[in-house]
Amino acid sequence: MGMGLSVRNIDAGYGKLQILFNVSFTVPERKITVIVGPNGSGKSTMLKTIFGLTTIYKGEILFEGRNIAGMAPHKIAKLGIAYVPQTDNVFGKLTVRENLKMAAYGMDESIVADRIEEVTSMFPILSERMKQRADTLSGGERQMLAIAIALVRRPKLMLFDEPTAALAPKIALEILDAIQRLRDEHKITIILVEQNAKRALEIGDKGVLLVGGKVAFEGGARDLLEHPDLARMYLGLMAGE
Amino acid sequence: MVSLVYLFNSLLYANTIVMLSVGLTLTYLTTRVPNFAHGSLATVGAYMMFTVAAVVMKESLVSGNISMPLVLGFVLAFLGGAFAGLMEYLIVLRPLKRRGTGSLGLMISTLGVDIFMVGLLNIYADILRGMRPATGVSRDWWLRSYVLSKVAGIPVGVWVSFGVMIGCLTLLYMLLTRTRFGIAMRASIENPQLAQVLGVNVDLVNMASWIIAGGLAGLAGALMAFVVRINPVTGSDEVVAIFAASIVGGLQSLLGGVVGGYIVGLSSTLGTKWLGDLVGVDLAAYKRAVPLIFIIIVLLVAPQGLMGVDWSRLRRRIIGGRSVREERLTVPHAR
Amino acid sequence: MGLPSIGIFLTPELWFWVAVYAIVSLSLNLEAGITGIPNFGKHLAVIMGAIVGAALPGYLGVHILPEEAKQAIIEAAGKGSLPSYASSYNSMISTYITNYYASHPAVSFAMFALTIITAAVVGAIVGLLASYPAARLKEDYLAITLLAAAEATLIISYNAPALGGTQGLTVPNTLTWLDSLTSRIVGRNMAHQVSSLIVAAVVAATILWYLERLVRSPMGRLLKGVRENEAAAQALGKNTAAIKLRTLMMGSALASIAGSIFIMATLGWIATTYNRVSWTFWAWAMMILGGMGNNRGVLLGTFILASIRQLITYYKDAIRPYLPFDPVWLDQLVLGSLLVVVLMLRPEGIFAEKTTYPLPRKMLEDKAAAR
Repeated sequence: MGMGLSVRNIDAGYGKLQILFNVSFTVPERKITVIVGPNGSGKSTMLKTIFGLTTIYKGEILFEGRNIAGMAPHKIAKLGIAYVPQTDNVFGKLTVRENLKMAAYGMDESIVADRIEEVTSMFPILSERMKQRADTLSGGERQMLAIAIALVRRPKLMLFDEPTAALAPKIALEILDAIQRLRDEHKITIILVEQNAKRALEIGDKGVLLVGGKVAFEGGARDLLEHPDLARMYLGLMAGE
Repeated sequence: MVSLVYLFNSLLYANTIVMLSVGLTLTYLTTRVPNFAHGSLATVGAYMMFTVAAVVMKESLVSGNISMPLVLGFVLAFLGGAFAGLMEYLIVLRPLKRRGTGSLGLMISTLGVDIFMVGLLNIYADILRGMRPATGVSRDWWLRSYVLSKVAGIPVGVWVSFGVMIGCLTLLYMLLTRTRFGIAMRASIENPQLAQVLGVNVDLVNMASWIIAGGLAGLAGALMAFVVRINPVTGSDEVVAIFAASIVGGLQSLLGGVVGGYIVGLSSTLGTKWLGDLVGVDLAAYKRAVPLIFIIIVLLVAPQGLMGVDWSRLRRRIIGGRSVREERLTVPHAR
Repeated sequence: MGLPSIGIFLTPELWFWVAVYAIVSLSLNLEAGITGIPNFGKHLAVIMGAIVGAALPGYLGVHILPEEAKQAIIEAAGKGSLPSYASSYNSMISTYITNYYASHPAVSFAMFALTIITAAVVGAIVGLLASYPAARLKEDYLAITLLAAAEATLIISYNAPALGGTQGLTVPNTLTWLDSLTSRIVGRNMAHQVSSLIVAAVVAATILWYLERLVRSPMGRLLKGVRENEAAAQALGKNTAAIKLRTLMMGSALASIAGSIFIMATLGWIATTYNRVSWTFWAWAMMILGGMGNNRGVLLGTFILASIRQLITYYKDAIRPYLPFDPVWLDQLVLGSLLVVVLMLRPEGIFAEKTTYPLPRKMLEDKAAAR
C-alpha cells in the first residue's frame, strides 16, 4: 500500500443525521482526485469525514495502510494530511506570521523558520504581509495563506474544499494552477472538491461523482467529463463541451 | 469626599473583579459557556487562604511575620481554584458537550455546579469553624487586619493586590502572545475546527483555559478576603458583578474583561459613594444593583459590549477608508 | 424512621410546598419549557408578588381599622400619631389588623382577593419589562440579564425601609375568612396551614388545567413553534415578540401570585427568603427533572423535589449529631448534583415532552377510522 488513500464502505454524518451512505473510492497517490456532484450530495462532508470532523457510523479510511476512521483531527494532521476548508480557513485575528506559526504547531522549533520561508517563497505576496492581520487580506491572498498554512507540515495528502469559491475568475485560475504545481512539483496527493466541475476535472486525474451521499461514478477525470449522461445530468455539462 | 481608605478598598475590590471577569471571559471564549459557578471558584480560593490562616497563621501572628503563610495561601488558592475549574470542565461540561447538550443545558449545569460548590463550601466552613481558627469562630471572616501595615505610605494589602493582579495579567498576556501554546489558544478561540485541522489538541486548550480561569479566580478570592467579609456564598453573590464586567467588556477579549472589571468594580464602590454623597443618602446598601444597571444599558445599547464596538471600522467609516469587506472583493496584486 | 417519613405526606405543610412550587414551576414551564424563554430570574416575579402580599394588607389595613383600634395603637406607641406599618410597631399593628380581619370575614376576603389581583397585575408588569430584553438578546445574555434584574430587586427590597429593611415585616392574616371555616374541621392549630394549602392548591390546579388546555390549542403549538424555530414562526407572519410578551406576562403574573400566597401562609416578610436558589433554581430543577414542556411531568418533578426537601428538613435534627456540619447544606448538594445528573442521564426529564393532539389521541384515531 502506497501513500494513497482508500475509503471503504463509509457511513457518516452529523450526530444522528446521516449524509454519506456506503461510500467507497480510492485516491491514487501523487494525483489529483476531483470529487464532484450536485449541491448537498455530501462532497464537503466526505472531506470532513476523512479528517475526523464528522461522526463515522461504519467503514474504514485507510491511509498508508492504517485505518484513520475515528481518529481525532489533531492526530490526523500529524500523519501528513492537510485540509483546507472552504470558509474560515485562516485565523483572521492573528497576523500572517502567527497563522504560519500556528500551522507549525508542535513541530521542532529549529525547522519552523525554514518551513515558513519555504511556503512563503511559493506565494511571495504573503512575505510582504507577514505582520498584517489575516482579516485584512484580500480574498485571493487569504486563499493563498490558507494553502500556505496547510503546506507548512509538508503534507503527503491535501484536501481542498472548493478553493475557488467566491474568487474572481483570474484569481481562481491562479489557485487551480497552484494546486497543479503541488502535484507536479511537490508530489502531493490531492483531493479536490469543486463547484465548477468542468474546470476541476480538466486539471484532475481521477473523478468521483457523489449523488445523494452515494458514489455514482468512479474513474478517470476525463471519462467523467465526457460521460454522455452523467456529465449532463449532474454536472450541467454537455458531453464534449 | 472619598477617604483614602475607601479609595483603597474600592481598588482592591475592583482588582478582584478584573481577575474574575478575565477568567470568565476566557472560559466563555474557549468553551462557549457562561459559567455561573465562576464566583464560587473564587470562594474556593478564599477558603484555601482561610485554611492557611486557620492552621498556620495562628503561630505566625504571634511572631508577627505573615508573609510566608500569605504566599502559601496564594499558592494554594491558585491550585484550589484551578483544580475546581478543571473538575467543572472535565466532570460536567466536557461530557455534556460531547453528548450534544445545548447552551441552555450547559448554563443550567454550571448553576448546578455553583449550588453544589456552595454546599461543599458551607460544609467545609462548618468543619473549619470547629477547628477554632485564628480569625475567630464567626462564619464570616476576612484578612483585612493582617494587611493594614503600611509600606511607603500604602497598606501592604494594596501592594499585594496590585502585585498579584498585574503579575497574573502580564503572565497571561505573555502566554497568549509569546508562546506557541498561547497562539494555539487564541487560534482555537477564533476557529476551533481550523485549529484542530492544523494539529492543535483543542480539548487540551480548553482544559488549560479552565485551569487558568480557575486559578485566577482562586487568587481573586484570596485577594477578596483583604476587603470583603468572606462566607461560603460570597463568590456566588458576586457572580452578577463578574458577568456585568465581562459583558461591559464584550465577552470577546480579555482586555475587555480588564476594562469592564474596573468600570463595574469602581462604579459599584466609588460610584455609589459619590452619588450617595451628592444626593445626601447612603447608597452603600444598593451598590449591588449597579452591575445590573450596566448589564441592561450595555446589552440594550451596545450588545457587543464596549470593546465589541468595532472602533477601527468606526474610525475608517469616519475618515473614509476602505473597510475589510470591500477589500475582499477587490483583486490582489492590483494595489 | 419508616413511619415518620410516610407521616410527612400527611402534613398540610408538604402539600402546601408542592402546590406553591407547582405554580412557580408550571409558570416557568410555560416560559422556558413551552415557549423557550430561559427565565433565570423567576424569583423576580415571586419577590414582587411577596412584596404586594406583605405591603398591601398592612398599609391598606391600617387605614380601614376602626377608630378605637387606631387610638389603641397611637397610645401604645406613645408618639401622638399613628406609626407607620413598617415601623418598629409593625408586629403590634399587624395583630390589630389581623384581629379586625378575623371579625370581618367580608373585609378579609376582599383584602385577600385584592392582594391576589394586585400581585397578578404587578407580575404582569414585570413580565412586560422582561419581554423587552427577551425580544432582543440571545439565550445566555437573556438568562444573565433576568437573573441580574431579580438579584438587584432582591437587594433593593431587602434594604427598603418601607418593607421593614433587614428586619422584615410581620404581615396581617388575610385568610381569616377561610381559617374560620377550616378551624371547624381540622381545629384551630392546623386551620391556617390548611386554608393556605386550599388556596395554593386551587390556584395550582386551575393553572394546570389551563396550561394543559393551552398546549393542545393552536396557541400552544404556536408557542412551541417559537421555541423550536423563531425565524420560521416569523416567516409565517407570527409576531414572535408579541407572543413572548404575552407568555412572560402570564408566567410572571402566576409566579407573582405564588409569592403573595406564600406571604399569606407564612405571615412574615423577609426579602432573603426569595433568593435565586429557592425560587429560581429549585423551580428549574423541578421542571427539568419532570420534563421540560410536559406540564404533568413538571408537576411530578415538583412533588419529588418538594418531598426530598421536606425530608431533609424533617430529618436534619435527627442526623445533626452525627455530622460535623449543619445538615441544611445537604439541600444544596442534592439540588446541585441533581441538576447535573439529570442533564447527563435523562435530559428530557422523567416524562419526555410528547406530541400533543388537539383532542385525546384515541378520539382522533376513532374519528379517522370512522371516515
